[in-house]
Parts: sequence; C-alpha cells; structure tokens
Amino acid sequence: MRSRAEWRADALAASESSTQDVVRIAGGMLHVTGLLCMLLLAWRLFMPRAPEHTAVQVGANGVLDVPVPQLLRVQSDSVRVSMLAPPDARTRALLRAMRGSGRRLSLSAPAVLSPIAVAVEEEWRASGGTRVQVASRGRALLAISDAAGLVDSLTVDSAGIRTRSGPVQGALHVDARATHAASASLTAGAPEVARVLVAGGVSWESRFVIAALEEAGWPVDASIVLSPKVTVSQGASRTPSRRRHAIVVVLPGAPSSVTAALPEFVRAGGGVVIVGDAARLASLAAIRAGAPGATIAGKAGAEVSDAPRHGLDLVPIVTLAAGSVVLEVRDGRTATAARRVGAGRVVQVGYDNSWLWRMAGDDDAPLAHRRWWTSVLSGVVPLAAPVHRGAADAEHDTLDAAPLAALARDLGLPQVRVELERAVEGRTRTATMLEWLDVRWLLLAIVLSLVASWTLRRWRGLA
Amino acid sequence: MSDMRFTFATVQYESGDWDSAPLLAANVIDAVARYTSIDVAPSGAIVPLSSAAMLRYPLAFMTGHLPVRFTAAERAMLRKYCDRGGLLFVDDHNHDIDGVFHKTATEELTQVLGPLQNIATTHPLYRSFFTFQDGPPTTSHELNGWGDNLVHDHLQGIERNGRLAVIYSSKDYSSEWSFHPENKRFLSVDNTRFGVNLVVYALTR
Repeated sequence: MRSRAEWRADALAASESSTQDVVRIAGGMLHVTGLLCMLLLAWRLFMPRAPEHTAVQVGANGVLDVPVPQLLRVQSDSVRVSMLAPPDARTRALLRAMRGSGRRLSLSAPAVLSPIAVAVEEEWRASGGTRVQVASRGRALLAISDAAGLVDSLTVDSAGIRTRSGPVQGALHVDARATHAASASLTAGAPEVARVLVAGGVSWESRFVIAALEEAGWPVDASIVLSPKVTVSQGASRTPSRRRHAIVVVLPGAPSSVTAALPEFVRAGGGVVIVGDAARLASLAAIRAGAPGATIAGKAGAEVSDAPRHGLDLVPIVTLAAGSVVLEVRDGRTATAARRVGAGRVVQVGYDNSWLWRMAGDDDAPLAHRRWWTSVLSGVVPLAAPVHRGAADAEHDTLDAAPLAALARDLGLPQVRVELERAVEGRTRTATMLEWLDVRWLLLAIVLSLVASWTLRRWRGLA
Repeated sequence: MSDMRFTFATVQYESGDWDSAPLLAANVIDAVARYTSIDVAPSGAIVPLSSAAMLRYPLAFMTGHLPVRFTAAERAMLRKYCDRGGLLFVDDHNHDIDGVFHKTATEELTQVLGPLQNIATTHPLYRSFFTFQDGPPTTSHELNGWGDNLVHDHLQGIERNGRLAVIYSSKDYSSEWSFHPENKRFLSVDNTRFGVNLVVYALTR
C-alpha cells in the first residue's frame, strides 16, 4: 500500500509534469513566433516593396483636394493625380514643380475631359467693343463679365459659337465654370477709331455704304465721281493717306487718283476693301484677292429671306491669288476672299448693290447691313495699338483661355482609366497594411520571443 | 440681272392726280444724263406708294393738284421708306399754300413722319452739283397769277434718323419742268438744273 508521502510525491510529480508541458508549449510557440518574425523580416528586407505613392484629385473647379503645404510634405516618389477637370494654372504649375523635383506624376481621368477655348479680341467697331469667340466640344453655359459685372450669358453648342459684346469696362472675362472653366481677358482701352475713305462712282451703293458706315460710327471721308470733271468729296482728304486713313473702300467707278495709290497704301499697312466690279480695275490687279468672273444675278426676292445676300448680284472671285483665303461662298462660288499684301490686308467683296439688302430686306435688314459692312472692315483694319492680354485680378489669374490645351502642353493629357484606377486603389491598400510591419517592430518581436523562449527553457532546466 | 441704274421714280398714290406732270421725268433724266456721269435709266418708273417696289427707288417724286389721302398701306410704306434712307420729293402742282394739295399733303406727311421745317438756303442741297446761292430757284409759275402768287423762299423738309427724308416744295417745279424735252434747247438757262442737284444730293448725301 502506498504511503501518503508517496501519494504526495506522485501528485507533485504530476503537477510538475503538467507545468512543464505548458511551459514547453509556450516556449515552442514563442520559438515559432520568433521564427515567423525572422521570416517576415527577411521578406520585408529582401522582397520587392510595393511602390509608395500618394493619390490626389483635381476637382471640378480645377483645384487639388489637398492643401498645398500637405502635398509638399509628401515623401513618396510617385504622385497619382486623378482629374475631374483640367487643373487651373496654379495647380498646373505646382504639379510641374513636383515633376521637376523628381517625383513621378501619373495623370488619369475618369472620362475624356471636355475641351473649351475662349478668345477675346478687340473689335474695330467705331463704337468700340470686343469680339468673343468660344470653341467647345460639349455644351457649356458661358458667362461674359467685365469689371462692372455680368455682361451676357449664352449656351455654347457643340459646333462652337461666336458672339459679340459691346464696349467693356476694364478686363473682360469669359467663364464656363458650370461644366468646364475657361477665361480670357483683354484689357480694353478706348480703341482709336479707324478713318475710312470710300471711293466710287455716284450710285446708290456708294451712298448707302457711306450711310451704313456712318451710322455704325465710322468716320468717313468720301470721294465720289459725279462727272469727268466733278468729284464730290467729303472730309479733308480725297486721296488715300496712311496718316489719315486706316481703310479704303473701293467701289465701282472709283477715281483713278485713288485706285492708283492703293498698292502703296496697302503695302504700307493700310486696309483695302474692293467691292464688286471695282476688282476689274487694272490698277488693283496686283492687290486683289482674285480675278473677278462674270456677274451672276441675285435670286429675286431673296433679300427678304434668311440668306439676304443671295438676292444680290455677285461678281464671283474665280481665280484666287496666291495666299488668298476664302471668307464666304455662295452657291459654290467664292463671294468674299482676303489676302495679305505687304504689311496690309485686302478683302475682296463680290457682292454688288448691297444697298438693296438694306432698303428692301426684312425688318432687321438695315441693322444687318450695317453689321455686315462693319465686319468686312474689321477684317482689314490695321491694328495700330497692340492688344493687351492678361489677367486683371487674382481670381482670374489662374484661369486659362484653353485649359485642356494648356494641360497637354505643360503636363500631357491624362489617361482615361476607370477600372484600372480601382485596381490601383486595391494595391495601394495592401501596401499600406504591409507598412505596418515595420522593421523595428519585427526586430523587437524577434528579440522578445527569443528571450522569452530562452527564459522558459532555462526555467525548465534545459538550458 | 437687276437694272441698278439710277431710275427716276414717280409715286403713284390712290387719291388725287399723281400723274399731273407726265413730262417732268424725261426732263430731269435728260439733265442728269447731260451734266453728270450717273448711270441713268432713259425712262422713269411709276411706283405705287403702297408697294414694296418703292424700296428699290431711294429717290421718288410725288406731285398733284387734288386732295391727298394716303391709305394705311401707303402710310406704312412711306414710313418704312423714309426710315431706311429713302428720299421723297413732294411738289405742289398748285403752288398754293392755301390749296387742297398743300393742306392735305402736308397734313398726311406730318401725321406719318412729323412736322415740316424750312430748309436753310445754305443747305448742301443747293450746292450738291450746281450752286444756288439764294436757295431754291424761283419758277416762272410762282407769279403767273395762279395759286397763291407768292415766291416761296424756302423748301421744307422732314428729317428721319438725322437725314433729310422728305423735301416739300410749294414752287411748282411740276409745271416748270414739265415740258417737251425738245423745247429745252430754246432755254437760255436750263431750268431743270435744280433737278440735277436733287438727284445728286439723294445719291451722295
């Protein structure tokens, strides 16, 4: 029979055995943990690391979604820029600077960015004014404003649009911020009104061309031949002078004293408009935009239609001179063309007797006739003063006349990637989790697990 | 192709006797062709005042002895014609400021276009081709015992948009210029020269 002491010794031995098992298992686990940490450390040190990058977004307003100071503190070598709209000039400059500092920029957009371009130029109307031209592939609500406030608003269709506005106060801004932004500014000074000399034979055309120009505000001199010995003149000079005249309008029957001086006048920088049969004058052959063909009758009654110039007789331009540009075509025939001659410009208008449009046209005909003649003259008026372009205030400092073109120029166009971007985001999250396994923490875990394992082995008496 | 030569147009209106000076056009055309280089049609045109064809003749002549009452269409076209730059020359064939033509025609013109004002004798109209220092040339009919037997010093006019749109005469050029063109050679001074001034003024003003 076993004594009590034997029972106690057996119980003690059993207890020690159980503790030894626990310690052995714990030691084993710590050992395995240490080995795992060493493996992870080796993986962390020797396996290729996921690239570190920073993802930022350019919002619909063209501005980054992170403050600039925060972006500048980013340590990663790669910056992924997702764009909902082309970045404004300031953002673009920042991104260019980041690229210049050695960071790799990756541009992407969820869809093709809509291009828009705006141009503002001084229009040589006697009353002053600006011409705003907008080109866009998508629809855009456009607001035209100047220093005094909103001037006009309109919708740009897919074909682009041209519009005019009257005189402006200070700089003119064009914004399409609702969809995509663009702005162009023009510091408009008071334009020097160009003086016009109208020369021709006595006719209703000369009388109504002069009237239309005067009504539009152009100062007009005139030299109208009444008879071989009588020429009616209006203004101080009846011959072209670059010191006095910016433009000469040559109508059929113009006096030879005027037409003979025109080649020199236009080469010196003047503008010349040759109308109808006046293009047949030999003295104008060297400067006309093309040779005139046989006169074609206008369509009866067309002056009250939507195409009123179809009702006018036409002297078509059949053979264009070198460098001439066709401005208007009627029924497949060149009606208006332009060319540069020396420092000046020439527009040749094939339409004859435009006064019929004014007199017999629809209710808007007098105004349309005036505007048309003004646009013809605007095409040849010499720009005496440079057009000053530039932003006038901080708000518009960052806006571009053609934001997408500026982006392509400075940084390149973004790639359109929707699915790919999601994949990149997934990879980005994985890399971020691995970053938790910092080398220092792994070393600490290895040391602690090994020390604990060694301590347990000592305690078990194995060491 | 349209005939874009200058064509002397006589206004045909529904009331009165619009055709009381049938030879006048030929004499004015003769004078214009004789003294100027204006490409002028050899015969005049007769244009209904209510017709859109009026707009193809930016200078039109109107005369008569009888009372004038424009229709609504004539009034509308007259207003449009003058607003767009047309010039209407109206001559009282009665040369009588107390006559029915004068009273009714000036009333109609005033109603449609505004009041008539005297045209100064220094107006460019009197120097547009020939020079008439004293203003409108006197006619031999002003003191012929008919009408008011007065010499009228001024023509009258109505401006639209800063330009003369109506010239009104009480001098009876309708009688003065209405003779057979063959007889012009017997005149020591061509009495239709002022007609040239009218045409040139209309074409160059």
